[in-house]
Amino acid sequence: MGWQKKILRVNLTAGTCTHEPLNMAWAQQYLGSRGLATKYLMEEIDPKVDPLSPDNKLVIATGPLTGTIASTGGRWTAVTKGALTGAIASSNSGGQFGGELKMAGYDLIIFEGRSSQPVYLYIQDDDAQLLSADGLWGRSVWEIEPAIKQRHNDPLIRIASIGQAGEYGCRYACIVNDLHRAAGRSGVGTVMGSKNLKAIAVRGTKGVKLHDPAKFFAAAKIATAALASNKGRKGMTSDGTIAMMDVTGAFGALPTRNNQQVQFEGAHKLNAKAMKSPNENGHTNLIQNGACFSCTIGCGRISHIDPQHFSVKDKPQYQKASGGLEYETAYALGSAVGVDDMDAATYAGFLCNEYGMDPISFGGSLAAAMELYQVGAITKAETGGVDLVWGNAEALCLMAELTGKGEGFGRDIGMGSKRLTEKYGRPELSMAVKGQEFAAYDGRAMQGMGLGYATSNRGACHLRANPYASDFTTTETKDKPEVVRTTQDLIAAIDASGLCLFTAHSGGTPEHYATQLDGACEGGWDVARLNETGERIWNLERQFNLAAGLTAKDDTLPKRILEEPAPSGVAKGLVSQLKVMLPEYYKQRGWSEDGKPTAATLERLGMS
Amino acid sequence: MQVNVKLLGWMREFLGDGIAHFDDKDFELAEGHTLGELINTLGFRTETPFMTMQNGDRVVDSVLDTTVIKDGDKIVFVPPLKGG
Ligand code: SF4
Repeated sequence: MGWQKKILRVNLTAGTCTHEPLNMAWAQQYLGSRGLATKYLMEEIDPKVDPLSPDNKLVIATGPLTGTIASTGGRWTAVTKGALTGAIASSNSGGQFGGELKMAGYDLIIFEGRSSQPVYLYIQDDDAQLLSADGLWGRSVWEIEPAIKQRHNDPLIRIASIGQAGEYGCRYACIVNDLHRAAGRSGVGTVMGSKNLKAIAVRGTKGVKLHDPAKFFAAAKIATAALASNKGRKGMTSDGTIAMMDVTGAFGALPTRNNQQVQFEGAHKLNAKAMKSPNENGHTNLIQNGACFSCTIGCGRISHIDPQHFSVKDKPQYQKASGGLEYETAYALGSAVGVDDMDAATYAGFLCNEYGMDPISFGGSLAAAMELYQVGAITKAETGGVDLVWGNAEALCLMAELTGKGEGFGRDIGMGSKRLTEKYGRPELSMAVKGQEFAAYDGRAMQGMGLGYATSNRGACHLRANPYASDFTTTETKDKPEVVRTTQDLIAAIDASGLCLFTAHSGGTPEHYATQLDGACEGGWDVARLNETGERIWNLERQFNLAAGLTAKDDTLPKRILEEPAPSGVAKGLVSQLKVMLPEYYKQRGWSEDGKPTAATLERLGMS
Repeated sequence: MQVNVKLLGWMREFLGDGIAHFDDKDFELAEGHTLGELINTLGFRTETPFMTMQNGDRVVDSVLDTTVIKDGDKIVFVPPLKGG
């Protein structure tokens, strides 16, 4: 068990909701969430499909540990063909929605087709129905969550929805749940919008049955205790992920001004200390930490903006507490665009949640636009009169609003940096892989991260490999392929289980994941099986991408990272050694020289 | 000679007994002091590896005892953060 063994299939074209048993043979092979949803997608769509056509499907998935008391067991995943990338999209989120969906009795919801009118899905345990989104369409995530709760007179409904960004087709629209948690990357919200699906509202009361409750509870107790005493976990709780700002800043791995620099002179205004310190008006950005369902780490930041700050001065609705800056948003809405104004970055982050767009891709796309402006490829004529110079906090806030709504030059920024820079004739200025913008690490100082970006199945991403310890030790590339490959597999398995991968930064070990799974699920789970499952998921995603038309040529990095030496920091003078690492990575994966899983590899993984 | 020592992240929680917590502090050291000696003075209590940087360059653990600190150096100690 662990699994609910039930799928909800929603045909948006026909307006029907039907129950199906979960394919348990696939569950044993691909575990759940990211893995199992990818298996269903691979079996049910042609990977060559246009991501925005009705023939693409959107799978919302929980894992076998979602909804349990395993620490961080509240994760869910949106899997589809990505609107931003054309590759497999697999975006993970926390909050309370995933646990609620699992409690309603479902492992997966598969959305297919396209509704003729905007609708939302309302689930109360077994009862699932499509309802008109009249009065909701055209409104933001922050407006519709309370509206849906009010409509059903139930404050305990949990909601995942899209904002205006997903409606108009911003390429990196996300699906936001619980107001400020998001399945953020690759344009999963864009796909949801293309289906005329505004929201999924769920109320679940069923609980989750476990295979061997005593075994599970014993394992969960040990895993949670290990997190409790871990130094990394304590840091995550007290400082959040934004603690990383000082480290990458000192190291020279903090992408700044579209990766033209790797250290940011304003980093000290965007770090954990600044977040906790009163400003000149005596206002402190951070209120407290926050946690997702069943999480004992609590890395989330709950912030509020100084009411006197220009961004919110006459807007009381933005003066309230909401999800604050994390390391990735502090980079994307800070150093990436040269802005050192914490409240401006926090405000832009609020707008990303409200309109439903990925702050990393928004910041990366705005950074590309700012460099286009710097080199004269665009002028005020294109930007609508906005002076897009580095560090312009007002421009950041304005562009966040315009991009969220799809107005003015915001519509161009909403295309993503790849399409934007191509439009203006300077494609080399897009800091992206497979069309998805970089996360907050530079691939020259962090050679392993560079390899991780290049080989990530969903495009540039910091959540697909875990090369931090190696990268903060050495820029030598010899061990990187192994570190990247093995951690890619482990993370795929963690994602598939329904736990949060931040456990791996906080004292969680493969033994903890395996023993908790073994208690929750039948079939016998140990570390070897966990790793093999992760590897199988990785190869399945790779097969999806190959079938979609991607090739080894897409496993690359922008020219800047491959050819322009890092200007400062530990890697001063270095470029990415991707060309050395990639062949070794393919070899270790059991892939051909052109990056295709060999027949022997597929057979070993039971995928042939 | 004077050097500046910075502790990033939760590094200050590793400080040895009797050393007052600080984030950023100037230290007066004798000529010829090595990074290894400075680390002993600070008495970090941790089994987990941490990273040492001198004027923006990483100094690997194997040469800490032979790396001499110079007047005006900026020394940064970084805890083992794993991502975010
Ligand atoms: S560690 Fe952070 S992101 Fe992960 S489940 Fe906990 S609060 Fe959510």
